[in-house]
This record gives sequence, C-alpha cells and structure tokens, in this order.
Amino acid sequence: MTDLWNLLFKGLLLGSIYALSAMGFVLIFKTGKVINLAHGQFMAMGTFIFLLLSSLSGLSVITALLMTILISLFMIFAIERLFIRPLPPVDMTRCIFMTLGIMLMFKGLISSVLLSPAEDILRRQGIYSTHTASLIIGTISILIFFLFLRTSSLGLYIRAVGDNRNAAISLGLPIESLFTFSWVIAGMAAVVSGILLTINSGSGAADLVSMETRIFPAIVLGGLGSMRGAVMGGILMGILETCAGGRISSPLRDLLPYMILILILPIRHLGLFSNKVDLPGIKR
Amino acid sequence: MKRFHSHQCGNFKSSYKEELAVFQNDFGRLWFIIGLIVVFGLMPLSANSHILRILNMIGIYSIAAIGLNVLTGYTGMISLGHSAIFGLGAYTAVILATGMNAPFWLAVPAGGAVSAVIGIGIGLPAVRLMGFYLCFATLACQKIMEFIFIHWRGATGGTGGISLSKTAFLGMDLKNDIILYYITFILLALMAWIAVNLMRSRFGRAFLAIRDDQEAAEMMGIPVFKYKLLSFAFGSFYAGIAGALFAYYNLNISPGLFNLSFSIILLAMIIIGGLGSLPGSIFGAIVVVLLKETSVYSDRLLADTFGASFNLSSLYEFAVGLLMALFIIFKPKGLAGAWSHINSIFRLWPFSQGADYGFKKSYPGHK
Repeated sequence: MTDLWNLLFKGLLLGSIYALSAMGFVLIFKTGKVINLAHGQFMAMGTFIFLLLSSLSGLSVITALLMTILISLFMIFAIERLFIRPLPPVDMTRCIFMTLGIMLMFKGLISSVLLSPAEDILRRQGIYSTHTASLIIGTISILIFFLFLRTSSLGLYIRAVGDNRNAAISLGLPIESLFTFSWVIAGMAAVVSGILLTINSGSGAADLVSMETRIFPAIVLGGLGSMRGAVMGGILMGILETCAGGRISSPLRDLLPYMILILILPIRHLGLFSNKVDLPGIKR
Repeated sequence: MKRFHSHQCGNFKSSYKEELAVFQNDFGRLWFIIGLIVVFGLMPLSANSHILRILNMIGIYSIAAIGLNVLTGYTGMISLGHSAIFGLGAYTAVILATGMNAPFWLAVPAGGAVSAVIGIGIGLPAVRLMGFYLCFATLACQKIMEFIFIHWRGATGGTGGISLSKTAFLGMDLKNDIILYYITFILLALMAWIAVNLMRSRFGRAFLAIRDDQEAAEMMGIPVFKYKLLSFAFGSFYAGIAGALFAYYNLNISPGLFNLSFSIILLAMIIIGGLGSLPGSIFGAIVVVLLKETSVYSDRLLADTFGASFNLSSLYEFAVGLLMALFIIFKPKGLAGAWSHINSIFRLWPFSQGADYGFKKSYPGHK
C-alpha cells in the first residue's frame, strides 16, 4: 500500500511539472492562436543552459536558476520578435511550420554544441534529487502563474486578447506587445518546468533530448481551451505515466502518453476538461 | 510542319485540354529532354563515387519528398510521422531481403506496400482530425513507431539496427553506386511522372479541393474521407519505396535514422522547395542534401586544420531549421514559387514592374 502511495506522490510531482509547462503552452495558444510545437525544446534548452551554468564554480544553484531564467527570457523574446511576429496573425499552418523550424534549430544547437558538455557535467557531479523541494517550487510557480493571470491587470488584458481578439483591438489593447509578453512568460514557465523535470527524474542527458515532445500528450489530454484543463491534464498524465512505469513495465512509461494521445484524439479531440475551442480554420 | 511555341506573354488557351497539358510550351519540352540526357547520360558518367553517393541521396529524398508534398502540399494535411513510415519501408525491405531471401525487385515494392497499408492504418483515425490535431496524431504515431523499432528486438535488432547483406539484382551488385544511381533515378522519374499525372486527374483535383475548402469540397460531392485516406496511402507508399531504396543505399539501418528530426527535415524540404509543387520537392531535397554535405565537409576541414572535432555535422539541423524559417517568412511558396516569379518577370518584361502574381499571399486553403 505504501508503494502505491509512493507512486501516486511521484506521479503528482511529475504531473505538477507537466502542468506548469502545459499552462505556458495554453497561454501562447489562447493569446496568439499559435501552436507552439517548440515548447518542449524551450524546456530542454533551459535545462542545458542551467546545467552549464551550475557547473561553473562560484555559482549557487539558485543563482544559476535565476540566470537561466534571465537568459531564456531574452532568447524567447528574440525568437518571438524574429520568427513569429513577421507572420500573418491567424495563419495557423504557417505558425505550425515556423515552430517546427524553431524546434529543428534548437535540436541542432543542442545535439551539436550543448549535448556533450552536459553529459560530462552529469557524469562528473550528478544532479540533485530533491523531490519535496521540486514539488514545492512547482506548486508555488503554478500558484504564482494563476494569481498573476487572475489578479493583475496585465493578466486581465492577456485573457481579454485570448477571449476576443477583435474586441481587444477595438478597446485599444496593445496586442502585439501582449503576445510577446505571453510568449516570454510561457517560455519562462517552460524553462522552470524543464529544470524541475531534470531534477525530479535525476536522469542522463539522453532523457533530456526526449523532453521535446513529452508534454504534448498531457496538453491534448487536458484540452487546449482552458488553463484549468491544462493543469488537470498534466497531473493526470503524470500519475498515469508513473503508475504504468512502476506497476507494469518501465518501457511502457515512454509509450503510454503517445498511446493515450492517439486514443483520445479520435474520441474527444477537445480533451477531457475543455468544452469549446474557437479556432480560425478549424471548423468542426 | 508544327509551329513551335516559346514562352507566351499571356494566357491564350482555348480548350481545357491545353490547360491540362504538362508542358505549356515547347521550350519546357526541350529543357525536359536536355534534363533527361544530363541526368541519365552526362552526370553518372562524369561523376566520381563520392558525388554519385550524394546524387543517390538526393534521388531517394526526392521520392519521399514528392510523397509528402502530395500529402501536405496538395491535400493540406501536415504529417509529422513521415520519417517513421520511411523507416518502415526500410525495415520491411531489410527483413524481407535478409530473413526471407527476397530479391531486390520484390523487397522494394513490398516496402512501399507495407508502408501504404500502415499509412492507411494511421490515416483512419487521423483524417477525421483537422489542422494541428492531425499534427499531434501523426506525432504520436511517429513516437510509437520509433518505440517499436527500438524495442521489437527480434525483428528490428534494437538500437544497434540491422544490416543488409544480399544486394544482388539481375546479376549486378547494388553496392556499386552507379547501378543504384540508375535504379534510383529511373524510379524517381517513373514516380514523379505518376504523381504529375495523378495531380492532373480527378484525384488531384479532389485533393486540391479538399485542401482549399473541405466543406465546399464535401458539398460538391467529393467523398472527403476516402480521398484523404487515399492521399495518406499515396504519400506513405512513396515514403516506403524511398525507405526501401535507402536501406539498399545505407546497407545498415538503425532507429536513430528515422527520428522526429528527420520528419521535420522532410517537411523542411517541401517548404524550402515549395508546398504544392512537384519540382519543388526535388529542389528542396537538393538543398537539404547539399547543406548536409557542406556541414560534413566543413567539419572534416576544421578537424584537419585544428586537429579537434567540432561536431558541426549535426549543426546542419540548425541550418535547415533556419533556412525553413526564413523561407516561411520571406518566400512562402519556396524555390518553385521564386522560380516562376523570376520566369514571369522575364516573360512580361517590360510590364512586370510592381506586379505581384499573388506571390505574397499565404498558403492557399490554410486560413
């Protein structure tokens, strides 16, 4: 019985990390109607930068974390400005192709420049496996995220753009800046969740590369329409994955999310916790 | 005596038959014949073995890119699982040739057929979805097939992969690059010809109609579900044939070759070349293979000069991604679009100043 509770706890940990990342994805989707397929790469990139920084002497883990967030902030700002901004606003197919291009760029950078130093670092000093701490940081980040979107005026503007783009424009909201802002927030959430995922699983660099698509099943399971759905989907997927890995067989852990994804899409492509998604070009 | 036509400065067609012609004028026919002579006569005879290997790579990728272009560029369905289907063709060919002693002429079509069947299997749940949901479904298929390639050790040999030992074909050895070159390019010419003619038939028109507006197509009486499945099967068949040829080209295949990056690189080929243009698929394959060769070459050059490895060869993914992004922003119709733009500038000179030709529009049918 304690074994099961242990698994559930671990699943909750993993799920809250997924949830944090999924919320960023949904935020980008709701404001800009962009499917950010490079979201997993942001997670991996942040983790690699964190690993390199934390191996430098004289930097504590917290300083390295803050510096990583700062670097990734500038990186994602630049990406949004250079690659997403020039596209026409609701051209979904072009945005998908563009994020795939960004994903390929990140993959090339990681596997040619960052992968071998990161493997060295992991072999030399390992990584801190502090479960409770990562749960606390994850929960606090989610709460901050939610509070920010619920209470601040900036969060209100972002939700307004997500609700009705044209009304937001006619009310004089600077929607372009709001898009950039939501990208930066979502990217930071992705970076934090990537680092937490690495700390949580305490695994090698090869696992980091597989991070690129791990959150998409969780996102679709919860539904793209709402933040709440993203959180629930993330937590559910984390628990399912951990239980399948612990109880049945460990390779199943890698396969199960994609099996769920391919099963849920034809049955209920909106996801479990989302009622309606207003999409340009998606008519059904 | 037939009057030969060069470029015309306008549209003077007076029948549907003329509109459907493959070559709009005799100029194109001339270049086609010159191209055939160069591809089958001059190039293989003058190239050395290294260049022949690059050319074979271009031929194989072109076949896969044509299939993907029919699926993504013409029918409007984005597939992220194309490299897994490519790999499926490769594995089928190797397993048939090594395990069951199947000859080349059986192994390659079998690779295509198995890929087409599995493609239909993937398509059945996937074609009911639209837009990015289809993306997620094909992504899941890619990941599941990668998992099968790695974990079904009995058939696929696990992460180490399997190698192909029987390479005889009609008394010739396929390890000889020039024989593989002729087989690849004859197949490429044949399959490109089939694809061009398919696009002129009712099937091609139905694909275009579905891409441009699915509901309007349905209202016109086009069985959308059937045609979408057909498009999936067609694209998968091409990918399977290309994969089987790739197995004979590389002789050793492993799951790492057929990962998600390769899927995106295949998409990059058709975006760089031009979505919805069959010559564009070949242009894109040429650009991507040349980028790869350049990165490998510069890596070796740097290693020779400085005595240290910089591992630039995987930086080519970065270059392809960047090129893809730049093409999406600046030339959404790819190299084929740029080519026809330049063509029309010359044709309409001096009245071509400031004309747009719909060039800056976004992809048709994708709202």
